[in-house]
Amino acid sequence: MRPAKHSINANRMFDRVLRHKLAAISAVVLLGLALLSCCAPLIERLLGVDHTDINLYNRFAGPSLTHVLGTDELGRDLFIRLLYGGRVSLSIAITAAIIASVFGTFVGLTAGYYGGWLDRFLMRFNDAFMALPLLPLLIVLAAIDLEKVGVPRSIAESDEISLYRIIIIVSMVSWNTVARLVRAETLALRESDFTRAAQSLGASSSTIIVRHILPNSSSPIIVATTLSVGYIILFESVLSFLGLGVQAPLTSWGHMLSNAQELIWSAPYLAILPGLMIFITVIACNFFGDGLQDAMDPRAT
Amino acid sequence: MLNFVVCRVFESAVVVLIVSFVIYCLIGFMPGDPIDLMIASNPELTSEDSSRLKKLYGLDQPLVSRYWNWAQSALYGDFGYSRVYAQPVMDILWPRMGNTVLLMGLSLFFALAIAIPIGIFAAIRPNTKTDYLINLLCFAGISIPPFWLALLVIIFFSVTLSWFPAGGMETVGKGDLWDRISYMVLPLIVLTLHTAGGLTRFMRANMRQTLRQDYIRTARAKGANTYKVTLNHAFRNSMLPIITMIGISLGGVFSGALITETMFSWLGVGKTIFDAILGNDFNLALVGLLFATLMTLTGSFIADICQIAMDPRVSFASQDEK
Repeated sequence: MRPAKHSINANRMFDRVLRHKLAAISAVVLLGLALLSCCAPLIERLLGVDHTDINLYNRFAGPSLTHVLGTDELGRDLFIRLLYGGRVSLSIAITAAIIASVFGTFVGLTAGYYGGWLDRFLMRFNDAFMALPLLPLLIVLAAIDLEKVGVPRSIAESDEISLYRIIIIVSMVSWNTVARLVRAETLALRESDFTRAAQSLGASSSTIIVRHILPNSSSPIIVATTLSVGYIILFESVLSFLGLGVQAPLTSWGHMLSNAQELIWSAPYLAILPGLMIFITVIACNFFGDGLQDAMDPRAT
Repeated sequence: MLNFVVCRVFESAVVVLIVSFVIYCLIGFMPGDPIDLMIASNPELTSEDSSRLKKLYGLDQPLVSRYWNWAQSALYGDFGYSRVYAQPVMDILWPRMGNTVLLMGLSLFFALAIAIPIGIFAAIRPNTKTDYLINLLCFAGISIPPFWLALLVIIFFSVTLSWFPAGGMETVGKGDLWDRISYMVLPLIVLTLHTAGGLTRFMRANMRQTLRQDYIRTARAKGANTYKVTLNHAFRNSMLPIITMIGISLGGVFSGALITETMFSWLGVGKTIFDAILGNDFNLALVGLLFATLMTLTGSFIADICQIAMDPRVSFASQDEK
């Protein structure tokens, strides 16, 4: 044998290190962003600025000691607004991803374990759902009048309603990947020896699903949830950008870009920075999810 | 074959029926109604007029019976009028549909022209630096928010370099072929990059799976070189899943097209739907959404038929089991 073998091994090691290094860097980036967003009020206090302070005499200011990244078109501090935007974007994404994967897991477990017409119906539903043009449907959902569907006025007109609304909307369209993966895993686990053993010992279907199948299908659930955080941030940012997501006084990264198109001539960096934050977060989620998949399931890719 | 086609047509019809009902209800839940808008624009209307008009247009009936009436006239080809344009909605949507199909078709074409060679290129040298670089770029393509990509492209190519116009369809009074093409370049770039990342990753994974098959090993063992094996044996077999993938991703491409059209003022169905929703043009939004759904469903239907027609291994019976 020539050194070919050696070079393959070296290559594989290089591969592992690089892949997991990317995933590790992504994890650090995500944690850092989460930490910064959590500490936004503290940092605000330290710098002595207020994220809602409008100062029309100080618009489009360059970076300075108080305004680390300068100010926006209303003279608000850009850096602190980015942190507050991250708070909203990240909390929407994480909440919606958890809701979506709980629902998707439920659908996947039911379809995979019981099989038959229920499985066929749920999977057909899933297929049809995936073929739909989701964004226009989301836009309609974001535009509906909550009072017409029976939400009391006091809730429908509160400040945070845009937050709850967008969480519900994006989780409605993000459950299907989890459902598909969990179903596939459940189909395999249903035929496994330990399921058979539990069945022959007289365990009920719900016990088998909760005690045996659910814990064993945790890795696809975790991977799909991580990946869906990224997609949800994209969805949220598009809707907020179009003016149908998060509403002022709250702000998210997408919302910060909503009038960026008018500013590209005068202050292009205002259009670049929030988008860069979205891009970094989403790509970090994708790398992290991909790395998790590699680490948890060596059969894939 | 015929059996399968009939089944799929029936299934798609059921999906369209359900989707149309859901969309009808959602549009009904949007703030305001056509009569409110009439009252807002004409202060002379009294409340008796308004209830008379509501009765005339059937707006006092429950949603379900309104849907039933609407669906009946839609089946006879009567889709009603647009409030903003005061034209039959079909007269507005048909020409714009052409623009959307042009944009989506060309971007899919370019996305495939990028994805297929690069996917294969990465698949035949797995886990090398080139492979990682390609993977990185694919992830970047998947993760970039399309509206932000559009902003970047406008800032770079229109504001800084002023090579291409920032939006619209053609220069007023000019409108020759070159002029139109120059308006099309930027939307095409955005939608192509938005689509290409996912397709490249899919092509790579798919090609790697094909290269692990026994018949590839046989061809290798018989002494065929890498390029011959890749192009003659693996390439053709890995093309089939790509067709399915295109069918599945059409809905996503349409969503991308909506954003691209809105960013570049490209007069397509996506922008029309968006403007109609914001402008309370209920009927136009409703029919536009149905149009978009029909477009993507037809696309994935054609993809399924192509796959079956091209792949002798897929039997129609097994398709039902999947």
